[in-house]
Amino acid sequence: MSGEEGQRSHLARQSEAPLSQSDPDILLSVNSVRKTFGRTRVLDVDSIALQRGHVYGLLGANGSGKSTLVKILTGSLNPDAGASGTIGQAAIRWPIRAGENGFAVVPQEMSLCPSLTVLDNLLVTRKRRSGLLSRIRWREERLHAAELLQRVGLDCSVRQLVGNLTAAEAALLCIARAVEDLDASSSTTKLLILDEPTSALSAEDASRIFSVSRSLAAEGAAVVIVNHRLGEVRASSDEVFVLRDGQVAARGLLDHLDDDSLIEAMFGTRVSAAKPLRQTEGAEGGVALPRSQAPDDVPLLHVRRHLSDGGQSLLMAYQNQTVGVTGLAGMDHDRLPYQFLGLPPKSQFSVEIDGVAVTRSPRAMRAAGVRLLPADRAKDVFWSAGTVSENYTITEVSNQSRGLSLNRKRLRSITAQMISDYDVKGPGIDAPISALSGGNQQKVSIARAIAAGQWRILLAHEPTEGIDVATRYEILGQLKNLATNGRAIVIFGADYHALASICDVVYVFTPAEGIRVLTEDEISEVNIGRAAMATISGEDL
Amino acid sequence: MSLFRSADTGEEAAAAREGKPNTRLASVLGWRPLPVERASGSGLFARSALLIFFLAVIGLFSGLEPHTFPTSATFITIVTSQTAPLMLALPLMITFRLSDLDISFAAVMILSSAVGAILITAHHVPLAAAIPIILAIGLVAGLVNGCLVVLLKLPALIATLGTLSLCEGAALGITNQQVVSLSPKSPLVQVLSNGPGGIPVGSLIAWGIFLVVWLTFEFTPFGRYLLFVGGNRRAAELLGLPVTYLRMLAYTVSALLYAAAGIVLMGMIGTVDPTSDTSYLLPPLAAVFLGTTVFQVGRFNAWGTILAIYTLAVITTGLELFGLNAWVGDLFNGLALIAAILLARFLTRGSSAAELRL
Repeated sequence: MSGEEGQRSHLARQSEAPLSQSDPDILLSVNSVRKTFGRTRVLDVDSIALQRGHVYGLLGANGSGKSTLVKILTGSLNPDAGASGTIGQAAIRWPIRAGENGFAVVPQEMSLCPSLTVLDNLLVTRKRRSGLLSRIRWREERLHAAELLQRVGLDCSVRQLVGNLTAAEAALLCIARAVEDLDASSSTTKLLILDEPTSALSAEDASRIFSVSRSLAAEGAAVVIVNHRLGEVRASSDEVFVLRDGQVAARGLLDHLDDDSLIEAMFGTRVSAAKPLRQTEGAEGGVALPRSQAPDDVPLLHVRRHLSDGGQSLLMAYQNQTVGVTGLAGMDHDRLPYQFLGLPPKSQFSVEIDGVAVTRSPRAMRAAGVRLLPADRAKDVFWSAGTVSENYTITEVSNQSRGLSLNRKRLRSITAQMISDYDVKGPGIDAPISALSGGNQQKVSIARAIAAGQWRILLAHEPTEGIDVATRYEILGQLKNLATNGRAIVIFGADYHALASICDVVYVFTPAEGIRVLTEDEISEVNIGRAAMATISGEDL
Repeated sequence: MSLFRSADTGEEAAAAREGKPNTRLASVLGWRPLPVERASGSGLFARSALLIFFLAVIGLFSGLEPHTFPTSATFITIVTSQTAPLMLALPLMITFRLSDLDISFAAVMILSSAVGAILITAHHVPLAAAIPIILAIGLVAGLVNGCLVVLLKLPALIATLGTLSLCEGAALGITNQQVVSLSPKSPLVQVLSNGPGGIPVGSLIAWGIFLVVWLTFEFTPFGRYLLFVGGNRRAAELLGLPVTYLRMLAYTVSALLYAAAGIVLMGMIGTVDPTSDTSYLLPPLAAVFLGTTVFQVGRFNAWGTILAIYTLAVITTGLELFGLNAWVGDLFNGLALIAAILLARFLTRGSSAAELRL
């Protein structure tokens, strides 16, 4: 398709939705798709139309509404009242029945069973359509499965255990399963949605997945690929939708949109005279030091990765600094705070505090003054059936007891003190912690992390996740204020806005170019986004 | 503005104005006011339903059998017969509070008492030497359970089922599958089976252990750690709590107390039946679960457990007074166990209390 044609059809779709309904090339068109949770509108899309034979990229920062849109298109969520649209020639009745309409989705979390074979995993979805006790013709199934694997370019035996596949092979198997779903559907409308299929894959493996989606599109399907990596989006898609705050911030042929305008659409501000990004000098050189620090200062926190050819600095934090650590999903930077404490997966690095190596265990790190603020409060922070007081004082109970006996009155009063210091709102200190909103739980979590004993470094993982806008700034302000008195805060996460607003240094983990370090005036949401995303260019693929 | 009331002053005054029960006493008992967001069905009435039921059952049997039921003989029978179940149920709560599981408890008790009885009768080992040996058996059993479940991370149900069967087999082997009888003149029997006002010293020991367990649960850091580790083990690990140590300690201390229960049982009955462990399996289990429906709803708590033990005992004793066979007891305990977890689920519905995930 030439650029001109694309522009025309694009305009037609946008302005005259009814026209597009009669266009036989339109596979799916939806109008006025909105979704509200509580008082927050997470999705507000006026119209989207998908054509047969096209591959679409769906871009957007975290929380921009991508997954909500995907869930609505595949029928696992209902949009708010007022949504309309057509699939093929027929009007949509919500929720969309993905199976009947020939829609298939490959979710981000692969739903494979590692202890079963490739064939078993394929059969699970295939046999969904037949009776519980219907006969399995193993020979036919094997042939069918082998054929399917060949189609998606997966070169392995159908008897191989899924647990032994590489990440790329597992992703291809998921796609094979979705393809098989599409094949089985008698519908003439076929849509495949891939939700970040390549976040854990190398560029080479990713290109295998993109060529499969190309060939599916050539057979008349429409393919939507949710992706964060601009280079990959360019390599895989014809057109792109960019979501920001639930709305379509940009759309069109990729040829007409440059990287800057895509990043601008995702993060909202114009990239003006993009500053050069400071870069690491490779494995031996280690990361560049923040400008404000004299190079001979011993950092408060210094993390080194052990490689076969020596060590590499991973990150450093100096006293009174707020340090951000980020990267795209799949870079594993967000496992670091847990790995510091010695949790799996095992990794080869050392943590030094004031130049002294510290054993990587929760107790040793705590003794060295390292405190953790985990992202998943239900899983990693609180005993959800316990009360606010019981959860908050768990690190205090041994200090606040006389001999063996708990000073229960004192425990309650320090909880009451914390409640007023941190302005925690909720039904009471004897209410279960789960009765508090996410933001108020986070305040208690911060308070507990730095209570009891001396602390020097706070490792905060996604401190703003699941927190309402009003509390968000309070929490960021609290964190910023904690980076004083010789202490340091290290924030791990993908909330570029939060990182840009409080960090002095931001480390960006990139797949192709190692670690990039942004300091002082280089730090902006857009620059962090550029550093994280614009790393694999289209030519690399 | 903070919506939290100042905990130490406002609450009691408000409760007094509204004519509510004294919250300080309630709080000492662990009878906490439930959070407001919980379902309305779990009010004070629902939380004390078991207590009301207990009193109602006593009233019912007393009305039906005024000459045989409400007597001191019945009281002493119930207290005596429930000594071993109570001494098993109390330590059982330690592992349960950690969300750990130990079903070898009855078998550990029977094995330790069987070893003790053989040492005393066949080998004429003096009591002062036999008691430490008996306790050591409990210690070893606890360490084995702990190593399997905590250190080797085996599934607790299967691992402790294994130790249960091991202990059972060992008890049968040691006793040659015979009931071992102590001499009625044995000092152990003399001391434990008699007592002031007809209440055996063995039962007084059980009540003493009850007090210690209750105080430990409610008034020591250890009690808090048990709940927190049981409620969210990963969070406890990330906080740097000594999770492995606490779990090992729980398995070991509780098994030590099962062995102590074995000593008391042996002394109070005067005989050891190596096949009797299964009859001590269900009553303590039913009691600890039924105990979660009262006082601290959704938590394994000491007062709830002791109330549940005696409620179940009153009912089975009453039914036996009506001439029903002993198998009714098994039937009833099974029913009580299922009813208990159903009731606990009902009382904690709508809240995120998911502590009964054993």
